[in-house]
Amino acid sequence: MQRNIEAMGLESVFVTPPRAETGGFAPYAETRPGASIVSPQHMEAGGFDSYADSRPEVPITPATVETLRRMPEVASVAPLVDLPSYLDLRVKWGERAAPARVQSSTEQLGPFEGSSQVLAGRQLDPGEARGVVLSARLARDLGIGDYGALVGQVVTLTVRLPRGETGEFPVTVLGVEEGRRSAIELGVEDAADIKRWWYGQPDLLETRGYDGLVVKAKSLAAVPAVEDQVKAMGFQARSLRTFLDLANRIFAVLNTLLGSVGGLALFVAALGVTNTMIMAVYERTREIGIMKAIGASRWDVLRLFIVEAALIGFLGGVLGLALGTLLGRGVNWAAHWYLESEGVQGIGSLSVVPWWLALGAVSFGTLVGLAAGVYPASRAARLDPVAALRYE
Amino acid sequence: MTDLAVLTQGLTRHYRIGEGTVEALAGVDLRVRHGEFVAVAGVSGSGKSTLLHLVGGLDRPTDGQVWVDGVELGSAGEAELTHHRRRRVGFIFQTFNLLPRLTALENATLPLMFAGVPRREREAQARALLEQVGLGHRLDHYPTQLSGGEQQRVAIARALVHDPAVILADEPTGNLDTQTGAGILTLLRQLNRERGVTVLLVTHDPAAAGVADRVIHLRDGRVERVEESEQRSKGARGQGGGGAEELRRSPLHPSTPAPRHTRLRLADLLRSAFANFSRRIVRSGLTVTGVFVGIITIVAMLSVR
Repeated sequence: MQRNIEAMGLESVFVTPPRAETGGFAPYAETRPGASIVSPQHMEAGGFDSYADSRPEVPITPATVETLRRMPEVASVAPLVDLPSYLDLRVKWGERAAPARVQSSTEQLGPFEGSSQVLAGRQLDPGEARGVVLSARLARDLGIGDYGALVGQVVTLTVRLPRGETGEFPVTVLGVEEGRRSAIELGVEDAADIKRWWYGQPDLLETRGYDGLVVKAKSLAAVPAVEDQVKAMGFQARSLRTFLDLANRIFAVLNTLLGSVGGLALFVAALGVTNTMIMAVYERTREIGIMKAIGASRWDVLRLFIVEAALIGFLGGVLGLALGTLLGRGVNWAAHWYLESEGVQGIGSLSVVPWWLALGAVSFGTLVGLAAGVYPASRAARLDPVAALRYE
Repeated sequence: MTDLAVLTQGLTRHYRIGEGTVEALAGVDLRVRHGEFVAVAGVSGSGKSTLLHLVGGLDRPTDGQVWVDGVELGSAGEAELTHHRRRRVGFIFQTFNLLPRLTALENATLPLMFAGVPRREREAQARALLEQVGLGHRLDHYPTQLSGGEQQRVAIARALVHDPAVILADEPTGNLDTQTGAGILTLLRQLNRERGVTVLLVTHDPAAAGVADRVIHLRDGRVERVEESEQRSKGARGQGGGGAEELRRSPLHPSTPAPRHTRLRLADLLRSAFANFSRRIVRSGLTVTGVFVGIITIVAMLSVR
């Protein structure tokens, strides 16, 4: 399923059937008001089978898939079939057999799910009908060191019902991928075969339907239309837009916080500049007197002190810009390191300092210094030269 | 009236101190011709410094008039007073009053800096004057590296650099030993003769009074008596009275800098700001830190997308 995840760009819409239970599946399930009504058919079909899965109100049938595929905005549709996690499944290869867990396809629908490295063969394509990909751990459990030798071979999946019946399903190995747990990923049709047998429902896909779909819109702009149409058909639909919206909200809160802290810091800094300049005026009172005596105007003295205050602000702006940019680089580096360790590729820079921000930061710092210098400078300018000359 | 460098009529200055009023000057009439060297003597509190401040345009009279070089200052606006200090008068103080962070040369150029004269030009003028007062070898020394006499010579160069009509010297020998003080007085007298600059010297040093053409004795804000120094006044009037005046107007005289520069230049503003910033580098640095913490936060906020 990794290819699914890789293929999941922003254009993907994740479709799930409406369900009574909001259990294991449906990572972004939205509880729909009508969804908790359990139909009589469901009681009949599943009521006596404790292992039966609940039946969705509106199943995603192969017909649904076809309908969606025909939509003009849709680029591709990949159906997903989940097997119960408690499934007692063993993989048999020659004389050896090892238990394995079937990776849930829908559980991996998240946008930041890691993609494992392929060690031999290839991965499953999104919605690919048949084939199996083994984890390296499972391959070793089966006593296979040379993963390449396994590709193209047929292994047998042995599934045991709690009642004791055993079913055997031969599947072709497409590849081996990295994995520390004994697990397999299964093609949609192979998984559906097991599920049909498990529930004893040959028409499982027509009645119960798929567990989910990944519908890829032709463009980002088409995503809302696809999402709306899918919802109109009675399914739940989620796209990465939702995540983006959430991320944007989080960023907005973060920005407000940072903005308040920054604003407060700058306000305090401005007071600091004012204080420093007032002290400077006191210290240089006599000098101000001298300067006035030898020809400095009020305006000259005012400008001398304001320029000095603006210089403080300017240097603060330059340093702040430099360190802020470095900090942004650090954040970028950390984010990339983290996301790449989680297997996400191709993310852009999180922190970018465009020219207008650089210019703005420096000018704003200068402006803060300048504003903070106005009061002390005007005090200096208004000093009486005779009194200033006598000042000790 | 234009042949007079300084003219005061009924010059009065009152200071309010608490509830009461102190009469620093109580109607002083004074006439100083161009090129004259006049000493104002009197005990402390006689009003002589106040007189100097009024003539220098640092203070305004409560009543009466003060004319300097043909301009009445009592009714002058702030801009006119600044122009007056910048063009017509040069101050010399008892405590030298050099700016401690500037070299001798930079100190001497200051009046021209405020007049907006470009650096190279004003340094050439100041250098010439410093050489004239015998400090050609000390141009790059800071005030703390100079003796009292040397500092006062720098101050004299500074008072002359913009070629004022009147030099106002407030106890220039008060902080110097007798010999050095005598040297300063001789220098002032010499400059007075050579450049034809009028000198108004406030002092209670009898030696200083001895150099002057006239000594005006002040007491309780009034002129007590005027003492003419015979041979000197003759000399001053004979060759100085008209001669000095002519000198001021002759084309050979390095007259007042052309008024094309009128205000402090941006380069000088920035240079001064940098110099003052680095004077208290720790304090300035800490203040900068405050600003840049704020800017960092804002940059961090706006750079994340």
